[in-house]
This record gives sequence, C-alpha cells and structure tokens, in this order.
Amino acid sequence: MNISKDLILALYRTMVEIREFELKGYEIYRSGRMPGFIHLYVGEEAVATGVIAHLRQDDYVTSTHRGHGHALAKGVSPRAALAELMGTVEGCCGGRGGSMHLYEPAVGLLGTNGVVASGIPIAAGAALSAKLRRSGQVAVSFFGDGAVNAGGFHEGINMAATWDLPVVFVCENNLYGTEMPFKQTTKNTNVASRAQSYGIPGVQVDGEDVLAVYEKAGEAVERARQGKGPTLMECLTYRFLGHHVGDPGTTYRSKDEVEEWKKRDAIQRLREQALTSKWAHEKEFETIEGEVRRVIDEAAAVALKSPEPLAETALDHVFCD
Amino acid sequence: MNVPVVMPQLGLTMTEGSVSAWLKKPGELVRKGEMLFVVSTDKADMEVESLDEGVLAKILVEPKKLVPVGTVIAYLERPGDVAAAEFPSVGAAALSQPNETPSTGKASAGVAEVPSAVSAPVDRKEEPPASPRARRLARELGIDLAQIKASGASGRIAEEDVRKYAEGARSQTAAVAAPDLRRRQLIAERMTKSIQTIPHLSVSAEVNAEKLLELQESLKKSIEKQAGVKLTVTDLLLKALGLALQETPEMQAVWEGGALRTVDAIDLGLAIATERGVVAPVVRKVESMGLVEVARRRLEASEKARQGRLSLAELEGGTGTLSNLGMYRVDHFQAIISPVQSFVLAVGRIAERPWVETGVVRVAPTIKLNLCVDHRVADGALAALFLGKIAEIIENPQRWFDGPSNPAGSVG
Amino acid sequence: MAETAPVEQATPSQVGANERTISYVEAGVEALREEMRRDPSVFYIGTGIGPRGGNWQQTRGLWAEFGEERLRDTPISELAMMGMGVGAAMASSRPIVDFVFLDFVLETMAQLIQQASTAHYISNGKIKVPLVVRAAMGGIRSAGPHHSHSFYSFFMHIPGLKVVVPALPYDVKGLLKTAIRGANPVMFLEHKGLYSSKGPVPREEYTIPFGKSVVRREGKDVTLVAVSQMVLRAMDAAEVMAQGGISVEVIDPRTVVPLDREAILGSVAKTGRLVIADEAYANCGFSAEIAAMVAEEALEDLDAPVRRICALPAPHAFSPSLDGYLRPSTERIVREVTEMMKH
Repeated sequence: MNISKDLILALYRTMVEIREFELKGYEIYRSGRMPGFIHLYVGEEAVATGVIAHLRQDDYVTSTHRGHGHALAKGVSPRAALAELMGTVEGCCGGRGGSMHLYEPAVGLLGTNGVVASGIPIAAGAALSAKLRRSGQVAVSFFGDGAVNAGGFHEGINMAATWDLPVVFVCENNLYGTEMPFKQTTKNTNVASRAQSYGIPGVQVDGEDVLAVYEKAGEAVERARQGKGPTLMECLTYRFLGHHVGDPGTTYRSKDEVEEWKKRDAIQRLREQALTSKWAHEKEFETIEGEVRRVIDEAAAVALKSPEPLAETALDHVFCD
Repeated sequence: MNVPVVMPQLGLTMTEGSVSAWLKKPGELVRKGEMLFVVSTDKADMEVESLDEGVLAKILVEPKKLVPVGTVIAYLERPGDVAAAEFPSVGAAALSQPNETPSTGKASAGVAEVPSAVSAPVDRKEEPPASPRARRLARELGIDLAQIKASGASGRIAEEDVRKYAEGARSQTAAVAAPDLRRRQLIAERMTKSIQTIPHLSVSAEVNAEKLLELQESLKKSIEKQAGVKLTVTDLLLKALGLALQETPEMQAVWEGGALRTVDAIDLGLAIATERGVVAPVVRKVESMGLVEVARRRLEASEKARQGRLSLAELEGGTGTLSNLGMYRVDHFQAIISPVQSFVLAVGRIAERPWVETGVVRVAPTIKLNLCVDHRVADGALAALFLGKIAEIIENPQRWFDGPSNPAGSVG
Repeated sequence: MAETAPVEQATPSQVGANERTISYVEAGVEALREEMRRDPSVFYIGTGIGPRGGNWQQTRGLWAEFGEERLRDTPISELAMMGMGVGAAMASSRPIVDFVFLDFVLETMAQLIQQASTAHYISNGKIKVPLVVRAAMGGIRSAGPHHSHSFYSFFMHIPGLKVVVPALPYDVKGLLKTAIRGANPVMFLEHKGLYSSKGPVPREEYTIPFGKSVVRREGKDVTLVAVSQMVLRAMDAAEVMAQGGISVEVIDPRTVVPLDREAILGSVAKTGRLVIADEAYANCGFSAEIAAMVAEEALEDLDAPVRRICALPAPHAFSPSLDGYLRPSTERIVREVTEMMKH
C-alpha cells in the first residue's frame, strides 16, 4: 500500500470532520434546538473514511440511520448536512428527510436509511444499473451488525453475488444493535464468514485502524470495479456514545469496555502512527483541526439560522411530474 | 343567539301537551306572531304563535310526544347567527336512530351496504325520507316533500316521485295547502273520538220563532246605535240556551274521568265556521250577560276565530255548544257533542212553514231544534225537559228577556 | 420525463383497418418489446421471465431478442428484487420488476412503501424512482387463498405510487408503455383471468395517459364503476339488465391512481345512482373510495344509497362453489342492481 502524506492528511481531515460534525450535532441536539433524534458515529469514523476514500464522486453509497459519517465522507457539505438535521430549507433534502434520510444524488448518496438492511438491496440495484450501463461505477452498502440477520441482507447479498454485481457490502460491527449485544442475536458472530455462504470473499478488519480499512476496502472496490463481484467486509468498530443522543450507552455496556475502545480511537491512532513514522508533522494536524472546526462552526451558524420549509410545500414532489 | 321555543301554558289546568304538527319546517323563517306549531291538549288542538322572529333551526321533540309545560321543544336562530354546533336537547336520545353498520360476521351479510336514509340527521325527523337528489329537486321546484308519496319499496322519495308530482300538480287546481291538511286531520281525530266515546241521545222540536224575530226587530236599532253591534238570531239563541240551562241545573254537568262532574258557570260554546274549519269559542257566564254583551262577545269570538287568534283558554270548558246552520239551506241537522261537554244544540234555518194552532193551519216562521246530549249525563226525560225549556224561551222570549233576573233590560 | 402521452385514442369498438385482434398478454409483450427497443435503460427482472417467457407467457420471445442482460431470472427473493428495482431506478435505469402474482408483493412492502414511494419526496425531488412493478391479481380456476388476492387498494392508499388496472388488451399496451416511460413508481396490475382475453389493438405505436377513464357503455339509469376483470362482468350484466329495461352506464377508470374523478362524478350527476363492482373486498377498498368521493362531492346528485358489490370478506377459498360465491358474479351484479332500481 502506498502511504503518502496527502493520503494521511486526507484521511485525517475526513475523520476529524466527521468527529467535529457529530460533536456539534450532539451539542445542538442537547440544547433542544434539533427536531427528531440523531445517531452519532463517534468512534466509527475510520470505516466510512477508509472505504469511501476509494470512491469516485459518481459511485453509489447507501447507509443507515447512523449515516452522517458516510454522507460527509462521500461529499455532502457539512452545511447541507447540518441544515438537514435541523429540518431546514438549506438541508440537502430541503428539510424533508432529516438525519436518517439524507439523499444527495450529485455525490451518489442514495440515502441514509431508517429501515435496517433496506440499503443492501438498493445498493445492489444501483450496482446492477451500473453494470448494465457499463459505467464502471461501484456501489457500497454500509450497514450494522443489526442488519445481518434481516432478510434484506441475505437476499441482497445473494442476488449481488449471483449476478457478480459491482458492490461492496460493509458491515460496521460495533457489537451492539441498540442495546442488544450482537452475540445474543446469532450463533455465528463472525460476519465476514457469512460471505462463504454466498460464494464471495469475506474480510474482517480492525475498524479502528483507518489504514487497515483503507487497504482492505481498496481491494474490495477494485474487485468490484473489475467486474469480479461483491465482497463482504466486516469492520470491527465501536461507538463511543450511546445508540442515539439520549442513550448514555452504559446501561448495557460497561464503562470499562467503553474506555478500552476509546483508547483505540482511530483519529488518535493515525496521528500517533503518522508522527512516529514521520509521515506528517504535528502542525499539519493542528492546522487541519483548526480548519475543520471553522467549517463546522460556520455550518452550524448557517443551519441554526436557516428557516424550515413553508407548510404549503408539504404536498410537493409526491409524484414526479 | 338561539331562541328557545317552549311548550306553552295554554290553559289554567294544562300541565303537559304534545306538538301535533309543526307549521314551519326547519330552515324556514318564522315571523313574530306567525303560527309556528299546533299543540294538542286533552281539551283541544291549538295553534301557537311564535314569540320571536327567526329561522326554525332545530326541533327537539317529536310529534305526539307529551312533554311538560315549559319544555324547550325547538330553537329559532336569530338572523345573522352562526348555527350552533350543539343544542341542549330534551329526549334527543329518543329521536336519533342507532346507526348500525351491517354485521360482517356472516359471509352473506358481508357486502357492506351504505346505511340508507335511516341515518338522516335529527332535525329532518318529521320530514319524509327522501334521497338527496329528490330533496334538491323539491327545493328547486318549491315543492313540500310532505305532499309527495314515495313509489319505491324503500319508502324513500326519489327524484322521479318529485318529478311526477310536479307534473301532476301543474294539471290540478290548487291543492289544499299543507297546514290546512293538518288541521283537517286534527278535526277528524277529535270528531272521531267524540262520536266513539260519547253516547249521543238526540231529541228534536220545531219551534215557532215569530216572537223571537219580533224581539230582535224591536231591539235591533237601539242596540246597534248604542253598542255598534248587530243583534243576531244567534245572540238570542245563545242567551235563550243560557237561560234554559239555568232553569235546568241537572244539565250543568259533564262526564269526565268516568264520573259526573257538575259545572257552576254557564259557559256555552258557539260553533263558528272559518276557512280552516269549525271552531267553538266558549262564551263565559252567559247568565250574567245582557244581550248587548252577548252580541259583543259573539262578534269578538267570530272575528278571533276567523283570524285564528283564539287562545286555548277561550276554547276550554263549557257544558254545551250552540251550532247554528240557519244561514244555510238547512232545516234540521244533528251535531256532534264536543269532547268534555254534555250537549250540543243544532239549529236550522228560520223559514216560513205551516204552523198548526188550535186546529188551524197557518204560516209562521219556525225553527227546528235538535238537542244531542251525552246519555251518561242526561237521560231522555232530562233531555226532553231541557229542550222543552229552550223551546219555551224561544217561543216567549219577551217574558224571559224582560224578566227582572234578566239584564236584557239593561240594554247597554 | 413527462408521463402523459401525445396520442390518445378512444377504445375502438370494432377492429379497424389498422388494428388486429390480439390477446391481453400479447398486448403486454408488444409494449415491452417496443419500449425495450426504444430505450436501452429498460430492463426486466422476475422469476421465470427469461427463457421460459414468464408464467403467463408475459415475456414471451423477449429473452430471445434482448438476452439475459435485459431479462434476468431472479431467485425467489422478492424483498431484494423490489429493493434492487428501487436502487437501479435511482441510478437512472428503468427497471420492470415482475412478481408474477400480486400476492408475492407482500414480501416486498417495506421496500415498496418505505423506499420506492418516498424517495422522490424525501429527497426534495432530487431522486427519481422510475420503477414499474408488474404482477397479476384476481382469482382464476380455484387458484386458492395464496394466489388470488386483489389488494390493489393497498397501493392506492400510499402517496407516491401510481396504480394501473387495465381491463382490455388495448389498455394493457398503451398503459404499460406510459408506465415504463414515466418518472414514478407504477404498480401495473393485470388480471390473471384476462391474459387470454382478446381485443383490437392498433398496429401503430400509441400510449394512453394515466387518469383517463373510458365509458364502456352509455346509460341513464345507474352508473356502474368497475376495473379489471369486473369490467367484463359489468358489461355482461349491463346487457342483461338492458333487456329488463334498466339502462346501465359502465365506467372503467383504467388507472385508479391517478383517478378520473370527473368522469365518475359527471356520470352520477346524470344517472343519480352509483354502483361499484369490485373483485376486491369492500372494506377500505377502491369501492369505498369511490363511494366516499361521490358522497363528499356530489351528495345531492344521489337518488339512492351507493351500492357496492364486492368480494365477501373471507379468504379466497379453494373449492369452486365457495370461490364462485365469494367473488362477485355477473348474476349477482344483475340481481343487486335490479334490486337497487326499485329504490
């Protein structure tokens, strides 16, 4: 794998942007100014970052209820994303979707999604379209450990495998589906091993190691682009905060476990690794952090002022005329 | 603001009544003083005027349901008012029919049928069932749905029924207006009840009216000059009847509640024909009235009767009624006793007829009297006695009208 | 892309010079062939629709012409089939997903209702889902409880789905073409009992816009609204009733979303009586929607209560005696409408 400073800094920037965005969202939500509810990706940034770094702008991504990271990594601006979380007209969906329903076809985002496992067949379908059109596009479906026992997982992956579709299935296994420990939901807790049932490669990777994710994802994306079919990637990761804002995340997890995982924070890890291996300087990381914070603060300022859509527009776009 | 319409107190003894008919429909404008509904009491049927102006908004009590005096029976909406969503209602639960959806328990009943006109809103209750389309056409043509007979099996008036009626009405002379129809019905009900419950006994006599006519002639001018009223034969007959009643106190009774009840006052009903049918206002205390007074009262009662302005109190009571068809080509007739009275005197026309006196036949003006009595109050002998008294007074009125107990002397 | 078609033709009553008589299923195949030739982004997936040509022969000959890229046989994975249809449509293809039996669409409801019908709306118009869902509904020859459903009204209930229910071959072809060319998810629901029925279809190309009903038979005494196979039953019943002196106007909406409300309201204004004959259940069904619409908009045009002649509320029993009893027959329509006319 070719490690360059540009790559390091790019990966760092994306992870920090996601982290700062999530913390800003957390702050605004806690102050009571955000409608609905949000599910934060804090602790999992490396997965979205490492995978999407390989994607073209016109490649497709489907995601979950915990999708801010994928949206930002794919190219939705923090301003458009935060405004959408606030349900305002400057959001990427004009306020109609909110956190769990972010769409931006301009960057191939075919939806973060409120229905578990629903993005899996959709991504396969987008991949099918790409294949028919011979466009070279690839689709990536992100989903959690909670999705792997749903029908859509089985059916979608099976179909994609059978037809050799250019899609990568990325499971973000953070060990809990809401409060349910993964090991209580299935006998086979090795998600990557399920790939075997479908006749496709399965890869398990440390989700807190962005370079590891980057490496394996690169292989999978390339495989797909070459027309060699899908891969099932299992990224072992952890969410440092609760399931949603309002869930402390410690009633079903021990504080020790949370602290253990926090020590493996991918952002910190990359920085340390980069400094040790002399891929980049401290100053460069600080600069990035400063720039990102400014972008996020500016996005928040815009989002907090942005108006909600007019009620009269509620019936627009039911159909495409 | 909604103005309540209450069951009125129409007579001293009235405690409850029922509306036998509404003379206006919901949605119709009612002017102050216009007749709004007909009240049925045990004594009589009474038209009741509206005390306010407004649109009849909601009828709360169904016809024939007895309610205490003072019960709110309807509401009028003052012009400009927004229709209130809720009217406090009395017994409204009795009015609305349960809206039952068809049972889907059985397969055969599963085809859902949309409930028919059974579920029509409460204030249409007294209207005949009609489809919305028929209702609209009737409204456009200004036809009262009550006039129309439904031809279909459901009993619901359909558009075709309205159309046929409209075509039929065009080719007929003016049909009887709806309110008159109702009055007819009321009269029919009362007459039927009378004839069915009171055992009538009838006695007749032909009476020489010469002297009566002479008396009338002699008093006519002065009475007219002093009091501005014409003295009619009816006035004289009424007074005669009152005098006869005084002389026959056993006739001062009515059969009520299964027993004989004596009556003190000499109150007599006077049958008056109006456009709307015959009414019989009661002239009170005839025994204490002079002829002028009787004439005045008779005139007043006739006017009120013809204008439909008689109150229930004016129709209540009395032991008997005088019914004079003398102004028509009727020689003799038999009338029906009014409910809770005990006799009726039916009088035909005064006409020149053969009169036999001391073996000699001559021509004299005679009048044929028929007295019908309630046989529970009077037997034949009493009836005959009473009639004899009446005849005596008519044939010798001077004696009676000039007598000291007779205030006829006080002409004024 | 606009959905309305440039060419609108009334249903031909006789086979004209430029028409020939073909079957309902053949009309669909023709539409598919024309559209797949016209637009390479159109492709078709379903079980048994490739070389086999479809359970109803509804894709007969197409695989031979277009190959396995454009016609793909799927495993029995309805949920994924629907989801992939959604994804492919979002990614600018024009997929047709064939479930063969409407009953099997039940497996897909989350993708259909949560994803397909909402994506355009939620994305504020940015995402389009030009997806055609094809399936056959209705009873035939004791197909039994799991293969006879007619719940097209489920889709009428959901904003964002168009629902097409053609009765005649002419309508199948014109409406399917419009569905494929449109920009919205369309439920294209044929009737399995109609596949072998025949009718005149023009040779030249035509499309039929959504939301335009057809008066199948003019009448003045009662408006009879029916869709799909019930249109044929309604026509037979109307003929019988005509002999009995009852003049029935039969209206076929052809699409129930969008619905040609004006045609129905106009007919009821004329006749004063409304009957809906539907193979689906009465409860919360198409018939209830039409009755409510007329009650809301034209109460004073009604001279009699609305009547609904629908499937009785029981699962679709197997034995022919039960099946025939539960679903509305021509005889039952005649009987109930005649009864209604006695008001």
